[in-house]
Amino acid sequence: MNRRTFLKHGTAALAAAAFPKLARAKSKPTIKVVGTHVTLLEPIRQRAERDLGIAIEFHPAGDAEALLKASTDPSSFDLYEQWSNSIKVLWQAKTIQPIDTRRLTYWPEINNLSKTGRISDKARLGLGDAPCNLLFVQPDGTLNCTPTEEVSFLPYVHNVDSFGYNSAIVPQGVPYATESWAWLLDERWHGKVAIVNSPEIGLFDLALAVQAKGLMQFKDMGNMSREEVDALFNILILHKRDGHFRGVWTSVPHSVELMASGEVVIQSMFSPGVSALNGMGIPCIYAAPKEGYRAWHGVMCLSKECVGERQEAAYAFMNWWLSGWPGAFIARQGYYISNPQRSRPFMSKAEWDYWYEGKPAAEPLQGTDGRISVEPGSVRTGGSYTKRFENIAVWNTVMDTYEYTLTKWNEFVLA
Amino acid sequence: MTDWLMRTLGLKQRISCGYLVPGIVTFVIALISYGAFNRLAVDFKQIILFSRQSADNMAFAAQMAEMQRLALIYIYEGHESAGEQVGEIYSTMARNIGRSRENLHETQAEAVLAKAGRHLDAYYEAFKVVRQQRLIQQQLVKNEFRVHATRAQHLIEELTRQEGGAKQLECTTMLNALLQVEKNAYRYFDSLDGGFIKAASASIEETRALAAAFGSKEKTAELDEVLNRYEASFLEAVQRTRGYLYLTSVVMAAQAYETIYQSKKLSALMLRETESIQQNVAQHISSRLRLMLLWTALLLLFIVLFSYIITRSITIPLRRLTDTFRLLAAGSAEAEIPSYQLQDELGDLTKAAASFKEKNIELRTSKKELERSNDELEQFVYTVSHDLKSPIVTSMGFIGIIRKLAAQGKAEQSLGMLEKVVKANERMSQLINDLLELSRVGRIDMDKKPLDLNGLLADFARSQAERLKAADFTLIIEPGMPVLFANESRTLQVFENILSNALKYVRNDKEGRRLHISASEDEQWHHIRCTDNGPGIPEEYREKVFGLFYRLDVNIEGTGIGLAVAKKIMKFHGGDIRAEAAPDGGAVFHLTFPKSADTPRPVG
Repeated sequence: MNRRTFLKHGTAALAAAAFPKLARAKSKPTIKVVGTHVTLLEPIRQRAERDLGIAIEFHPAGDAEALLKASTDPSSFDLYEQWSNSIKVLWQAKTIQPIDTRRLTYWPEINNLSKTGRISDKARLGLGDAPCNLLFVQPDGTLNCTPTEEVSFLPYVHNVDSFGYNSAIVPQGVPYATESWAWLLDERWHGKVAIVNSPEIGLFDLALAVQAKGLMQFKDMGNMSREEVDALFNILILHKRDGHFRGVWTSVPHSVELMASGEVVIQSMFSPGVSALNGMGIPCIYAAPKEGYRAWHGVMCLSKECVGERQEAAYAFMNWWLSGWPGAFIARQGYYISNPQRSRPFMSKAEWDYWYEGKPAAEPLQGTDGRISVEPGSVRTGGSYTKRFENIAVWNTVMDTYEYTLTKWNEFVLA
Repeated sequence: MTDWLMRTLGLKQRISCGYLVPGIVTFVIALISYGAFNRLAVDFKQIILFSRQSADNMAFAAQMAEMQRLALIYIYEGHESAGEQVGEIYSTMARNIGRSRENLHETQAEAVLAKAGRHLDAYYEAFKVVRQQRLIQQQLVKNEFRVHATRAQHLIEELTRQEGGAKQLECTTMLNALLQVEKNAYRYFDSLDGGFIKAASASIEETRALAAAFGSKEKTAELDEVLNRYEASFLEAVQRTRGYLYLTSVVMAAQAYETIYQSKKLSALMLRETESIQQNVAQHISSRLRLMLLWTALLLLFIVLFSYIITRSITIPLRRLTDTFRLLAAGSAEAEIPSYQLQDELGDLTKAAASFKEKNIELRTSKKELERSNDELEQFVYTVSHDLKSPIVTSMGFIGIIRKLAAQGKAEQSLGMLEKVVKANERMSQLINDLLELSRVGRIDMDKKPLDLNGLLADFARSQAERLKAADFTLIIEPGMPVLFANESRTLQVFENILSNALKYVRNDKEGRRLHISASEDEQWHHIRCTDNGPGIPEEYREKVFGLFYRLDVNIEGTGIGLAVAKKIMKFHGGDIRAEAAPDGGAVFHLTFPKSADTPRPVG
C-alpha cells in the first residue's frame, strides 16, 4: 500500500479498527461539541462523521461565551474544545468528568510535552499552568502532573505564540538571539503597538515585555500576586496613557486589519494572522523571542452529563482526533498534534519537514483551504516543533488573581 | 470673420447677434461667478458640517466614557437605573451616528464612523448579555443560593435534634462550616478574590465530611444532596460573575475603547479635512478670483472683437453702397456694385444700386443715341439741304439763262431750257418723296405679324416678272425661306429696293444679270442673303452705301435713299442689313432678322 492508497483507503480501515463498537452500533448517536473556531471546522466535522458513522454538531463560539456555557451548563455540550487555561474553571465548576485513559486508543503515543510539560530533557517547563499540571486527576479530585489513569482533558492541538512585526518598518531581528518581548515596549513603535484582548493571554505578552524591558521582575509570572498585578498595570497604564499602545485586538481578522492598515507595526499575534498578512504581501515576521514563547494547549473535555451511547461516541471522536488525519489537517494551519508521528503518514515529506522539522519548504505547500500558503524555500520561524517547545516562557494561565486582573485589564484598555 | 458674417448672417441677425452675444457672455460670466461661489458655498457647508461633527464627536467620546461608567456602576452596585441609562445613551449615540453617516455619505469619515458604530453595537450587545448574566447571578446568590443554605442549615439543626446532646459539638462545627461557606461566598462576591472560592468549596467539603459521620443516613444523604446543589449554585454564580466580569472588563472595555478611538480618529480626520478644506477655500478664493478676472477679461476682449467684427460687417457694405450710390448719383455707369448675396435690407439696397446703374447705362446709351441722332440729323439736314439745293441751283441757273434768252428774244431756245428746269424740279420732287418715305419708316404702317417669306417673295417675283423680263434680269428665290415676325409691306420694300439697285448696277453680259435670294439660320438669327453677280461694292463703300443720298455712281439714276430706307426698316425689325462681297465678286446684301419676335430696335 503506497502513501496515496493509504490516504484513500487507510483511514476507513483505521476507523473500523479504532472504533469497533461504533461500527457495530445500530443507532446513530449525536454528540454536541462546543468550542472555538480554531478546531471546530466543517471539513473536520464532515470527515469525522464519515469515519465514525455518528452525527456531530459543532457549536463554535467566542472564548468567553464558550467557557461560560461549559462552566454553567454541562447539558449544553458533550465535548468541549478550548484551551488548557479553561480547565481550572471547568474543573472547579464541576461541569466536566474525568476521561479514562484506558479508553483512549492513542494515549501511549501522546508525547511528553502534554504528559510532563517538557518536550525534551533540556526543555524549559514554562511558567503558569503547564498542561500536565492540569492533566491528571488525583484521588482527592485535584489536578496535577502525577500520572494517573484519569485525565481532565484529552491533549491534542497546541502551539506557541509570540508577537508579529512588520519587517518593512521594524528591523528584522535574529530568532532566539535579538528578537525580544521587550520590542513591544520599544519607544520607536510608540502608538503602533497592539495586544490581544484577553487577560489570560495578552497579560502574559505584556508581563514578558515589561520583564524583558527590565521594568519589573515577577516572583512567579505564571501566578502573579495582587501586588505584582498592580505594579504591572501601573507600568502598562502609564504607557497606555502616554499613547504607546494603539489598543487591543479582539479577533484574528482585527489583528490583520490593524497591521495591514499601518496603524500597528508590532503586536501580539496568532499564527493564522501572520499567514494572512504574508498572503497580503505585508512582510510580517512571527518572532521567536529570546525570552521564550507564550504556549497554549488545546483541551478536549468530556461533559459531566455525557453518558451511555453519547459517551461512547465522544470517546470515539476523541480517538479519531488522534488517529492521524486530523493532526495532518491542522498541521497545515500551523498547529501541532500531541501524537505527531500518527499524522506523519498523512503528510507529504515536504509538509512534515516544513511544519514539524523547521526545514525550508521543498515545494509549494497548501493550506487547509487548498490555496498555496507556503512558498518553496520558506522556513518556519522558530525552527522545529521540538526547538519551539523547548523555549516556552509561560503557558496561557488563569491565575488565582483572575477576577482582579479582569478589573485591571478594564482600566488598562480604557486608559 | 467679417466676410463670413456678411455671407452667412442677415443684417437683422447681425444686429441681434450684436446684442445677444454680449448678453450671453454676461450670462457666462455670471455662471462662472456662480460656479466659483457655489463651490465656496459647498466648502463652507462642509466646514460647518465638520465643525458640528467634531462637536458631536467630542460629545460622542464623553457619552462613551459615561456609558462605561454607568455600566460599571450597574455591574458593581447593581443599580437598575444605571443599566437603563446605558441603553438610553446607546440609543442616542446610535441615532447620532446614523444621522452623521447620512451627512458624511460615502466619505472616509463615514467609513470610520461606521466602524465606530459597529464597535458601539458590539459594546451594547455585550452589555445586554452582561445584564442577563448578572440577573442570573443575582437570582442564584439572592434566591437559590440562600434557599440551599437555609435548607442545609435546617437539616443540620434537625440532625442536632435527632442526635440530642451526644454530637452537639460536631453539629455546631458542621453548622459553623456551613456558615463559613456562605461567609466565603459573599466575601468572594464582594471582593472578587478567587481565594474565597477555594475557601467556600473547602467549607462545603468540611460540612459534607462532618455530615458523613452522623448515623442518620437518610438525613445525611439529603444534606449531601442539598450541599451538592448549594455548591453547584455557588459555582454557577461564580462562573456567571466571572462571565459578566469578563464581558465588562474585556469585551465591553475593548469595544468602548475602539469606539472612542474611532471617534477620536474621526475627529482628527475631520480636523485634517477641515484644515484641508480651509486651505482649499483660501486657494479657491484666490484662484477663482483670478480665474474670474481672466475669464471676464477674455470675454470682454471677445465682446470688443465681436462688436468690431459685427460693426464692420454692417458698416463695410453700407460704406461700399454709399460710395456706389454717390457715383451712381453722379451719373456713373461704371460704378462697381458691391458683391452681396444675402436677401436682407443691404441686399435690397445692393439690388437698388444695380438697378440704378442699369438706368445710368441706359441713360448713357440713350444720350449717345440722341447725340448720334443729332449728328445724323445735322448730316441729314446738311445732305438734304445740299442735295435739294442742287436741283434748285440748276433750275435757277436755267431760269437765269431763260431770262437772258428771253431778254434776247430767243424764245425757242428759252423754251428748250425750260424742259431742263422741269427735270430739275422733278428730281427735287422725287427726292422729297423718298425722304417722306424714309420718315414714314417706323411711324406708319409698321404692324408686325408672322410673315411667310416664301409666299411674300413668290408674290414679289410674280409682281416683278414684267419688269425683270424687260430688263433681262433673273431673280432666283431659293425655297425654304423662313417665317418671320415682321411688317409685310416694309419687308417687301427692302427686297424691292435691293432688286431696284441690282437692276441699276448689275452688268454681267457673260452670265446674264441675276439676283439670288437664299436663307439660313443660327440660334438667334434668320440670315437672308441677296447675292447679285454685278461688279460688287468696294470694301470702303460697304458701310457708306447705306448713308442718305449716297450713290456709288452718280451717273446712274437714283436718289440714294433706297438703302437708307432698307437700313431703317431692318433696324426697326431688330435686325440689320450689311453689304458684303460675294465669292465670285458680286455684292451680297445680308439681312438679319431676330428669331425672337419682340426685340425691336430703336429706329434712327
